[in-house]
Amino acid sequence: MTSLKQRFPAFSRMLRLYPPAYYRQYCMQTLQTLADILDDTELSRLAKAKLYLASWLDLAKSIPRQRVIAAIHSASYQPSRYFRNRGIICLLLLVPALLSFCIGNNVTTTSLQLSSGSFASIWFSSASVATWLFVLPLLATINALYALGIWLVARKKHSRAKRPTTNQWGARLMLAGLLLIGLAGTGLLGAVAVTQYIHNQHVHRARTLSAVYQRQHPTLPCTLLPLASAQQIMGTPKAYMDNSSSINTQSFSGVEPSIHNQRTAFCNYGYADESKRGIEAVTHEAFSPTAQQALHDDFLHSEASDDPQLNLQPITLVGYQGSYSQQQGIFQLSLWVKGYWLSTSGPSFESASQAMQTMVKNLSIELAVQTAAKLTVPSRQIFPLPITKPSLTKNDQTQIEYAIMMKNVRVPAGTILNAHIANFGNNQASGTFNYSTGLHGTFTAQRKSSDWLVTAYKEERK
Amino acid sequence: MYCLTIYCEHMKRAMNLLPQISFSILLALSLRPRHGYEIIKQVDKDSLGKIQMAPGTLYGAIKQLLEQKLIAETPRAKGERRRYYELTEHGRNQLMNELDYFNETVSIAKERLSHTLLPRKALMS
Repeated sequence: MTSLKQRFPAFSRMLRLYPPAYYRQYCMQTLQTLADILDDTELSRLAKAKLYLASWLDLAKSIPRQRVIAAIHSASYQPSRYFRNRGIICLLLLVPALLSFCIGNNVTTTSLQLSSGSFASIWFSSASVATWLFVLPLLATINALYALGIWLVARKKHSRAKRPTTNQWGARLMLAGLLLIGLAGTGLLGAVAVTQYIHNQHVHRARTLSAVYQRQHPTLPCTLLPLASAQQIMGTPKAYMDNSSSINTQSFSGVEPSIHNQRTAFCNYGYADESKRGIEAVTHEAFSPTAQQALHDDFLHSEASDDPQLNLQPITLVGYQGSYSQQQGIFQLSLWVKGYWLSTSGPSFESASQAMQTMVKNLSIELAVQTAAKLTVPSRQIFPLPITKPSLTKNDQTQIEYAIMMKNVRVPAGTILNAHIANFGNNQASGTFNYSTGLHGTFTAQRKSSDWLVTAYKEERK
Repeated sequence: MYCLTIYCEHMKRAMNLLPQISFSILLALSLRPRHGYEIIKQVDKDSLGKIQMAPGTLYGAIKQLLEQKLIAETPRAKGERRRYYELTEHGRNQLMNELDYFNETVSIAKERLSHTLLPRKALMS
């Protein structure tokens, strides 16, 4: 008996997918028949290969069929047990999603923003988090619907035949519980879908601005980290300093004197000193009263200030830290402001500090937008799915086409221009254009405040 | 398509008709008891190569036929690994009913087609 299993190890393993009762009864017979087919001397090698392949393909049809038959049998004769087991499976499928919601947005946010420590594991990758929040609830819903379908078939099958003597009320109670769990799964899916929908809806001015802002600075959502998570993952700046005595990384950290009475800055080596200078440049440029006033004035004259609900508040610096990695040749600057942990990096401290200044400025606007929209936590931080790539709006397309047209005033009236934008993002767009007259070429455009300017323009005639 | 399949299944049950595979297995067992691979070969031969069963389908159908008591397993000799199946009395009656039904259907169809095809044949000749 065992020799057949040894002869067809993969096939016998596949047979285990049959319902247990069927497997016990027919497993060895199936293997014996397969052995008979392959041992038949009358058949050619090709015919044997065909039959062997057909036997494999037949399993794909036969196993689900026997599974459904067994499920109908089980739902007819042991309904309470069947629905209880299904309910447990559904509940287990929902557990990761429910846990994720209980923990809050920290897990998902952290997993997407930091890939350090245990968060670098596969369980915290964005694909895995999407599985928790989307695929598993979907499977729970399908499972509940499948059980409902089986129950309906079993009920119909036994409506005219002799009804099995079982506790019908208990079974119905179990089924109701199972459907309730399935409904919870559907609810989770609905929550994800609705949040996604609301986030992507550009009906509210604040949300429009938020969306534009996200497009303009695609790196920012990945570097914002709630304060609690920052503390949890990276510790306080001082703790970071104590642990940073490696040879290749030199770092310093400090606490802003407005929060604590004394300013402490630790410079271990020369590179750290440069990082410190970078941070000081940032603090001077972004946090000095003059800089805050300039930012406020800019904001008042910007498009964003048209919304009366938006009110730009100065943000305060809580702490900072910087490091230089000799191996990678990268300066990394981190700021702890208004409950967020901002982080930038660059080949020189000037580039890193410049990026940080932009980030601080944008954070001010983002916070104003969030306050106006009453979004304490942006929805993209709750669910991993809504992190979207920069996308082109109709307004941008029109403005870019207008800017291209302005480059060529000799085109006759009534000429139609089509611009195909191949690359879009980070305030830049590039692609090809063609006029209905046959004139075509390539262009590069850049956003200046609310308008687009064509910076590179090359035309070719057919 | 799915609705049509369901409808066909329903009609088969209403008329006590067997599925094609089950009918072929009963026909294969009508001569003598056979084991799995013999049934597959006999069905292939009876259907002129049109029905080629694989073990999964075969034992699914055998399970159903055993539950309906149309076939039975014969006692096995000592050391025999293969299981042989034979037709029961109920199975033989069911097979005869099926054949009667097919005979009637075939005679009706032949008669009907002979009426409709005659003028066309006459025209062609």
